[in-house]
Amino acid sequence: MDDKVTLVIGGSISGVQSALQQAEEGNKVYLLESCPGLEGEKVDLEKLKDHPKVEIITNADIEKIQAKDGKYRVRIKKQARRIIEEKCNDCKECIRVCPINMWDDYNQCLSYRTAIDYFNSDLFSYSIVKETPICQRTCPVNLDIRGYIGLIADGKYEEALSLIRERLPFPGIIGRICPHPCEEQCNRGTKDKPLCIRDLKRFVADYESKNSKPQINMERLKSREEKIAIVGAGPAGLACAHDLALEGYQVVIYEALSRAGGMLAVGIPDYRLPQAILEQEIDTVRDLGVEIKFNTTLGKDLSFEDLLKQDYKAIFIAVGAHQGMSMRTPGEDTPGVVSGVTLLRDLNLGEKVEVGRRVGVIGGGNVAIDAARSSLRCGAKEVTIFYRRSRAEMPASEEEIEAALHEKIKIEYLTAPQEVMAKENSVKGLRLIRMELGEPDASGRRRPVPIEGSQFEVELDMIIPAIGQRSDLSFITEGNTVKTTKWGTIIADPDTLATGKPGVFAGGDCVDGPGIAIQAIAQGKKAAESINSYLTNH
Amino acid sequence: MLGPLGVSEGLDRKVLTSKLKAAKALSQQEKFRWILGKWTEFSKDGNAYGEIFTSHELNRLLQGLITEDLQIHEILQLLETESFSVKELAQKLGLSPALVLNHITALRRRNLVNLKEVRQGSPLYTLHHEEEEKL
Repeated sequence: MDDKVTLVIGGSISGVQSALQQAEEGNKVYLLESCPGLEGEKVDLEKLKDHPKVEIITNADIEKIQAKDGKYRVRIKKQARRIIEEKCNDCKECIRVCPINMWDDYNQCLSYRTAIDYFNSDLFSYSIVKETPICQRTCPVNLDIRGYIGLIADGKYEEALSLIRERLPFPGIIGRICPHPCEEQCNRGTKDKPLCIRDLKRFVADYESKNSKPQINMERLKSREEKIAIVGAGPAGLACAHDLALEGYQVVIYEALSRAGGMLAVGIPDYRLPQAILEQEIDTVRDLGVEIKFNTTLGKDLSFEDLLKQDYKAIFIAVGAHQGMSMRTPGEDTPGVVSGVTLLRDLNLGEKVEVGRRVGVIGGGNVAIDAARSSLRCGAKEVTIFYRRSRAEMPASEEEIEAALHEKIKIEYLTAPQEVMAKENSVKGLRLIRMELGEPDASGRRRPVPIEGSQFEVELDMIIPAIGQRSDLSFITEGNTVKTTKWGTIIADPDTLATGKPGVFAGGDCVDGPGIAIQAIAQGKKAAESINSYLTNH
Repeated sequence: MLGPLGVSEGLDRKVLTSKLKAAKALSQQEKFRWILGKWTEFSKDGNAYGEIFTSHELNRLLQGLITEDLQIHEILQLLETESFSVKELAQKLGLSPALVLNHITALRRRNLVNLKEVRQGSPLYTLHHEEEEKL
């Protein structure tokens, strides 16, 4: 077998030896090492260096391995060396003058190493180490957090904002509502408290809107004729539209509701994200020439097939997840049982909403908390959240839970609904059962198990289930090449977001299930990149 | 950034002289001058990759350079005339032996310090003479 290609992972002594062995057997060998240099016997390295069958890939890590038809596809990410190889003549003068000392993790941090260093003098292995900070790696859009916080500290607010806008078009929105996974990772947290990354972003966004008219220096540099349709004006759709418009494409967004913003507009109450801020930042996308067609539901006002027939070169589906999931308990269809997303949507669209005096909210996520706090603002006197696990497992963000408790909202942990009690077609109460935590389930959280005979009843006038959302994908009819999963999400390639139909891409909550806004924005940006490369290469 | 350094700080005249000597050696270093020279460029236009350095980052860089390199120069000065073990150096400079060992291993790697001999189980270090004048 002379066409065998082998990947050896790890450039230690054994890795180097197996690479040589494989190469001598006549196989093409790739030797992968995460450090910039290799370890091994000098003789081996000499042989390896000039071996025609060996390709050495250092300073690189595996991102993904896919197995198909007995073969592997491996995606490798190589870090830049930051050295011009042709100019380097191994004089070591750079090491002598390098001003940066850092811990030498190659040698288990036993000593210092300069930021520029060689790892093995037998192979070209000079490199400058500049790691990506953990906060930046955690952020779905890889925002240069250290950069913008540094600029804020220097008092350069405008520069900080334009650095943010390089990756994120909505600093005011995300600066308010992001659950900031970056802050959980912030190294400062190990010393005392993490930096307030999200609030600092909000600060510069607010500073700009208070002190000057928002000035977006993002200009369309080129103009392209291709028309692209986006379904859904939520965070994913808007971010995709923004990036595509900057590339010069003609973008049209179809939005089912009368307002743009998706869950940002109708899923988040005004006290967390004021409408004015949302609209101001959506306007920045429209200013780029993006057209939004409101009140156009795919599958109702416009069929998917008709959309495909139109003159669009690519389509991005980002319809989100706006349907509340059912509790699957008897009596759920009684008037007075309103799902959390419906309540929040009606409130945000300015429709008249009547809440009961005693409200029970089912669920432990941010929607549950938002629904509970909103019903309090609509006049409810007593609001109780019923959650089937304990506080530690609650998916809602800590500050939201704190805020709810502060507003005198009660949270009953380890309780699950069993039956909605109705009388004369209105809610009278809820029968619940106490739970206890058993073994961890697939999500890693401990599975709640009902305690026999622990049923109890509470009197309520309104019940708000907020136990998760799913997408309405009824526009995808049977036989379509765009396929869905049994969990009601669209199947899209995780790298390119391409669906089964060429030119149709999908992303955001309708692919990943309900997630956070910044994740949807990241998907929108990824879709824009994929669509751009799809249209450029076709 | 070095803080006050003088007789009124209770420093012995001999210690003070050697500290000042180390500080002088430090300020004459190329890399020290380079950072200051590149300051404007790095904070305005950024490095070769367009990465802009905030003044916080540059200050941190300079601070680290000064404190660490002062220690390094003090070690080198002591080794100029005599050879010492890590423990002895640490005692003389009031630094932790672990830190001195870190400096020594880094200096050995840069060919600035050599192992001279092992006395009673402790390795003694000395300057690498060929390179001495280059500093």
